[in-house]
Amino acid sequence: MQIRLADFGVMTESEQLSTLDRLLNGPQEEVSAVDAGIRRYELRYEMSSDEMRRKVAAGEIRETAEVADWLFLLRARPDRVAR
Amino acid sequence: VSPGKHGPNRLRNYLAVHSTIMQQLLQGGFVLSEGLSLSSDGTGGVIISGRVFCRGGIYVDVRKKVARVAGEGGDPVVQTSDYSYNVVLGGRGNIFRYDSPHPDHNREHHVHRYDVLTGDTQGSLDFIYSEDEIPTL
Repeated sequence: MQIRLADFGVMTESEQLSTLDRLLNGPQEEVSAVDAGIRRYELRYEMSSDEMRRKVAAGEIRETAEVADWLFLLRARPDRVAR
Repeated sequence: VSPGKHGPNRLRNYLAVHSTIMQQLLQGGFVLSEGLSLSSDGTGGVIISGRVFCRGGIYVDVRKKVARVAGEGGDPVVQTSDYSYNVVLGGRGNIFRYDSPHPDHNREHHVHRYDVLTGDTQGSLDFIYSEDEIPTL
């Protein structure tokens, strides 16, 4: 479930509350969207996320905008503490 | 949990502040349109992502995680935990990008700056140690 912020801004208070409740407590398909984004980067760069992080930390690849986005998605994953 | 402008807030209030500031920027004329969306982060918070179009062919790619720090239901207390705001001159390259700390490198809030008009793709890096300098988009 995705909500355009422009649409959210013109909702009534009760509409906003019910929309947020559905977003946060409904089916969590957006989590898999994060995983799908990570997978796209792994395929595009032909390396695992762990390898990317290792190479960035070692200075072997630069932290480009795409790499920063990839790192963001890794941090945005719900189970990021274990990763 | 830090106090101040980056401190915790109710999600609805957080989004209302965002909406108010975005409306001001739209009325001011520099921001032409915004295509930001809200999705769940899977742990009771939200991810804000999308693109903000500005004058002069500039756009901002936004990724922000607003994590739940307390409360349940549809209006928990939240706080920004991670972000990446990449400002681009369309057709030329990146102008600057603000990133939250990464786990393995650049472990402070930081900004990458590029001399976009000369084709600079390496850029420079500055760390941010003052909360006031952390962007609030």
